[in-house]
Formats: sequence, C-alpha cells, structure tokens
Amino acid sequence: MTMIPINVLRHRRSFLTAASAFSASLYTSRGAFADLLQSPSVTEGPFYPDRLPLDVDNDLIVLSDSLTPAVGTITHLTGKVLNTRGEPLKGLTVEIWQCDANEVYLNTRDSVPKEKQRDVHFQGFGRFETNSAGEYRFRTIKPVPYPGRPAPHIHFKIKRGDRELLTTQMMIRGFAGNQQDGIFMNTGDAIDRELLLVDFLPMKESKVGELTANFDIVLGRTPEDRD
Amino acid sequence: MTILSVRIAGLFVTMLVGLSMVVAVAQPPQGRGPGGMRGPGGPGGPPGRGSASGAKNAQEFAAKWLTMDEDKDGKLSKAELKDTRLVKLFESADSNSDQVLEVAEMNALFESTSKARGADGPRGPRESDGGPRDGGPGGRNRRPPPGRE
Ligand SMILES: [Fe+2]
Repeated sequence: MTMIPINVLRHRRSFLTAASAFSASLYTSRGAFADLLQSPSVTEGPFYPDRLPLDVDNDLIVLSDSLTPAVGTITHLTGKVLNTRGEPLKGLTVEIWQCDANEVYLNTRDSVPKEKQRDVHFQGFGRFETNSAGEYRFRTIKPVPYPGRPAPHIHFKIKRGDRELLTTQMMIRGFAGNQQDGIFMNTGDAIDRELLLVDFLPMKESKVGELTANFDIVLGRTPEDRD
Repeated sequence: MTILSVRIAGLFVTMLVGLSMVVAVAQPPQGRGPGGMRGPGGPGGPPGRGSASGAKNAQEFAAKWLTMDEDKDGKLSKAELKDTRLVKLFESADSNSDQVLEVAEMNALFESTSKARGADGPRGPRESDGGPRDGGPGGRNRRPPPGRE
C-alpha cells in the first residue's frame, strides 16, 4: 500500500495556489487543507536503549559478525516519512527499537534482570536515513506482547540530526491484545489509533514465512520545510 | 482553537507534573527526573513535536476529517481521501456505502469509538498518565520498571 504519487499532489497544489490568492495562508494554520493526516505521537516508554549497541544498522536480525540470526518471525519493515502534503522528507533519521522474542529490551533496566531470558542475537535497535523518496527499511522481527503491554509494538523515533521530530509506536492491525492495551486505547481518537495500525502480510517470495509490513509516517510542518 | 487546546493540554500536563511531584515526595528519588534522561515524548510529558492530538469531541473529530475536504463541501469523498492509511477506516465509517463520509457518519464513528473511553474527558480515564504503565525510566512507581513496558 503506497501513498498517492507525489507529482499528482504537486500538480494539484500549484493549481490551488494559483486559483486562490489566500491559499498560502490557509496552509499555515490548523484546520488548513491536508492531503495526509499527521501521525500521532505515542509515549517513548522506559526502554529506549541506555547504551547503544555497536551495530545500529537497519538489519536487526543479524548482529555484526554473528552467524546466528535472532529468534522470531522475520519481517521486512518499510515505509515513508512524508509531510501532510504528501511530499517525501529525505535525510531524516528513523530509529526503531523493540523487545526480542523473549520479551527483553536492549536496555540494562530490562536486559540485566532478564539476562538469562534474552535473545543475545537480536539487535533490539536500528537506524536508517530516509532516501530522497522519504523511504526507510528495516529487517526485524514481528513484535511480540510484553508484560503490561498486550499490544505488540515497535517504537519509532524520527529525527533531523539530533532534533527529535516525532516519537511514536506501530502496532499490529487486528491483534486482539490491542483492545486491552492502555497505551493504544488512550492514543488520541479513532483516526490516530488507525494511523498506528500496520498489516503484517506474508512475503510472497519467501519460502520460510517471512512477513512484510509497511508503516508510513506523516509529520506536521517543521520550520525547515516551510516554503 | 489550536492555541486554546494547547493551553488546556499544557494545563493538564502542569497538573500532572504537580501531582507527580507530590507523589515523588513520598517516593524514593527514582522518578523521571534523574533517571529520565529522555525528555520529550516521555510518559505523561508533552507529546513530541509534530504530533497530532486526539479530537476531544465529535466536532473536532469531523474537523479533522474535513482538513482533507478539498472542495470544501463539508463532506469527504473517497476521491478526496489521499491518505491511503485511512481507507479502511473510511470504508467502515461510510455506513451507507456511498463513497462519501458525511458529518453524521463522522459523528457516529466518534461516538462508537470513544464511549468506552469516557467520551467527555480529553482522553478518557487515563490509568497511567506518567505513571507506572509505560512509566518512564523507573517512573514514579513502586513496581519494578521492567514489568511495566
Ligand atoms: Fe515498548
């Protein structure tokens, strides 16, 4: 599932701009026209890594030199970071983190007490920079429930350099635990919750049951992208 | 409207912070201060920049849909819906299946999805705002943090 091609939006935008003398001011206030709605923020939670792993690439399944892959259902996670006009935001850092298949986060407050439980082969955190189409991609595991969090989820942080633009989470569409999850159920309104849900689908080419998941993220306007 | 709601949200946060400070007095100093090296977006903290906040009532909810109402006819047609992430929700809310979301349908969706959560509060009963649930690095709770993610 991909967003509408950008050039279509651009065309329409320029038409609107020409057609309406005050359209520019409309775009700067809330209630203004938007092609895409902003992704809601969701709490960062307690387990953003307190010590980053040596390997912070976008493949969370395999640690640098390791030959043993992580436990879990391999998921090819892709998406775009866009603004509300549907334009791609390039050069942004997308960070993800999640617990391993044994419910342990890569954070010493979680991993130390659960030392024996953790999957040492899971990277737990990864980073990727969006390309000119605003795209990012990761290879990770399908998230699992965590004690106190019946909704399996992957945490996201979007940054421009060191500046944090959005902290959020994605969850699995149709997962029953979502309805019991306080974080999910207390996120904004029905639109906001919908924007967090992602389909995990069988990867057609995969013979070993890998999944694909697409999570597009829409940011509100930041000073840098004001034109 | 934006400014007002931000102020109200700010007030709400201020109240919560005040509340948590009161609690913190009675707790060992493991609140989200020192351990909480991560600021924005923290539990109960202000939402991260660029975030959207939930509609507080049906009117705000409809207004949110209608930011995509390009021809400004007061309803949202399927053709106007460019946000593919919302197609499923649109279809489930379009109860007469005419490919147009009218305000009445938006209202109905809001009512059916917010009742269980306390329709009139800004966020309904929030059991753990800033608290134990996803409660910040060692949030102000008696329980050990690892159990509360
Ligand atoms: Fe989490």
